[in-house]
Amino acid sequence: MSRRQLLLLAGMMGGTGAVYRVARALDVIPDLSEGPVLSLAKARGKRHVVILGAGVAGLVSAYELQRAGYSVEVLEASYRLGGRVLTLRHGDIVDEIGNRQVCQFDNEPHLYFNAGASRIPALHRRLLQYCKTLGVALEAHTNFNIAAWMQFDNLLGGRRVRQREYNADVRGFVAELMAKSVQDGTIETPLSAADRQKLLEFIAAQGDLGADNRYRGSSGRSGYQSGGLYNEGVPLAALPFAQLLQPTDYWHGDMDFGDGAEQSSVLQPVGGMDKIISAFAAQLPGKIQTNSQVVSVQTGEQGVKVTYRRNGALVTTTGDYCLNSIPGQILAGIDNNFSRPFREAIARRPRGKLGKIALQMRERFWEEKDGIYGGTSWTGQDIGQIQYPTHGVHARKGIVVGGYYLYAGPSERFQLMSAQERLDAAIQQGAKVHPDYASYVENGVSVGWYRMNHMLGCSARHTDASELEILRRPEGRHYLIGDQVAMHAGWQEAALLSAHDVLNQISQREAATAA
Amino acid sequence: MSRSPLYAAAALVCIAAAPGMSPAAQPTVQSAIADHNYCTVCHGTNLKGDPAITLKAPVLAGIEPWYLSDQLKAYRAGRRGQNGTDDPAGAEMRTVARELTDAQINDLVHYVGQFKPEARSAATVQGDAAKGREEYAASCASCHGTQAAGNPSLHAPDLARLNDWYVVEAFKKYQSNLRGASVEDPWAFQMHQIAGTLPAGFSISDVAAYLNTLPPEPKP
Repeated sequence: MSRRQLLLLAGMMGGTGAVYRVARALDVIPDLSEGPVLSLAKARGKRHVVILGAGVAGLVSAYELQRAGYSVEVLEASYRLGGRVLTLRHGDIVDEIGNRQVCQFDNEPHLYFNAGASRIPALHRRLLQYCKTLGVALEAHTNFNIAAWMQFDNLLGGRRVRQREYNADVRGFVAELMAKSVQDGTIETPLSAADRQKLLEFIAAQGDLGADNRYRGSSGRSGYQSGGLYNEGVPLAALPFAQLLQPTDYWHGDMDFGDGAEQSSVLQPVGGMDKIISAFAAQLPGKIQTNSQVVSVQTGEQGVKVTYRRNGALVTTTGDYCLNSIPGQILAGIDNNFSRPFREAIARRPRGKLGKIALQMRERFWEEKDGIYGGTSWTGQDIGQIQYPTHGVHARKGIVVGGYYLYAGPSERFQLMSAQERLDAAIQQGAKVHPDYASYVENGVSVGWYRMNHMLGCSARHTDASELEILRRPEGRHYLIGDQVAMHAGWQEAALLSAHDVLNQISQREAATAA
Repeated sequence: MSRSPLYAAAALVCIAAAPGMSPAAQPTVQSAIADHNYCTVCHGTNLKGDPAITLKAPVLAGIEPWYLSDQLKAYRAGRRGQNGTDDPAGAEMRTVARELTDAQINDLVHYVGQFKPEARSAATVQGDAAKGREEYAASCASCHGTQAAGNPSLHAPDLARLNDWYVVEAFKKYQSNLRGASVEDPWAFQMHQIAGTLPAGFSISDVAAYLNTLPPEPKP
């Protein structure tokens, strides 16, 4: 039997989790993504599980439990599924409290905006595996592009430069200093003379240094003034070194943005991130109820009673287990009988304030004029960055992410603005990166996750692992799930890890009960 | 079991579940603003308040209709919640209120009135209730009433039904210019002035602790 046949068989027997385990055992998949590996045994008799929240964590839980023979019901407070997987298209509502908007993009398949999750790093094996199993088509997402711009008011008089210029010159100047230090012995190295020579050669190659180990501008990494292919390239002069050292967010994180979790290939579903949500939902016909806001969760050692409001009436349902992805800050306002430590811990949950602004551009000027195909321009202004769509290359129009505010100050300022004020600010700030920016903008939307209905926050990072212990501990037969119980929130993979962790626990609990 | 506000149903936005639904089924922005569903997201699903530290949404069940209406209008006008990040909870409430019409405010007041207080909110503030009783009698009772049930003719709201932490926070906002600083809102301005001139030794935590000892439904 071939490895492929074995994996197929494993898939038929035990689903994605089994494929993953077998593939791991065969070393077909390197274990790049740490954490629990799903091991959910078949249900022993009739077991019903109530799942709160139809985001990734809730949907994957329902999908796997159903596969294992459990009966499931998913209750979702919103009119829509997906939680923070939100793709906005023509006519869609942005359900931000106090900033409700209707997306005015043209009705074209490539004119969409992933307002929440937008990238799938290749490290996120579980999510990729589900995409494969469920038939969600993926394409490359250009995440990082040094042909894109950087613009910081305190650097080079606020002039925009290509990231490749800055990167090449910083590498060059730093390499020159290192070479000098190695040459005159300022740096002590436990190296032989021959090895020191090799080190110097390495440094020179890294820095694009001249034969005298001096840096006089790159030989091509920065781009050329002219030529470079058919005719001889005329190199660009190096930027002034002292200027490059102006402290900016660029070398505090933007520059190595592509070096962390997202260093590997990054993917996106063709047509929008919510293809993942619809793929899960298609596996759960009749199991998901929207517009069902939970008003009470009463847990015990035998089961969990959940009361929710639907069409103005209160409905009660009972599960052998309850898997709950309601954000802690909202759960704190729902009647419950949780233990005091748990109640206090959910009330302590921080609320992330990240948000994004998207603009429909009448022309893809970044491709036409600047030769930028995907990736991110960085700026020190509140918008932080401008992301160019990977999809729809050379189409007439495109949706640019005209702001992705991650840090406390900008987030708070954008959060307080109306939708129109955010667009105005994004257009005004974007003009420092693209001088004729405003003339291309047709319309836009903004999503502030801090105020999104039924969310009230996103991606708040834990700083204290002991807090996680409390949140992860079952309360009777109730389990909190979702990226909110992961150390590094804000990724779909984190939501999957949390779901798998809890499903494994339920499986063990069921086995222990039977024994 | 909670009394169910049937009234909520009419305005709830109900559309198809599947992503990628047809635009024709979408609610409009105007209908959405009237979506009462918003109140229960922050203020707790039975409007009993949400104690989450980053939310600080007080109990609304049992709030006086005149007081709720006044406050929504104050938020709308920017007399309350106008201090940005200095008063994040107020700023959040202001974003909800800033586009409400009078008719929508009336509608909301009616909606919130469907929720009745069930029991006193849990005590969370540490304080000396005996001392607070004296301080309350000396400095608060003349407007807010001996049983803290409020006095509409003086625009003094019921304090006994509030979350104790909210009593403390609101008082501190009055004290620090975050609330009531504008004469355009004379009653709030009055509270702001009083909060700044209370005798040394006045402790709002003691008063909150005292309020926790009052019977849950003090009103006749």
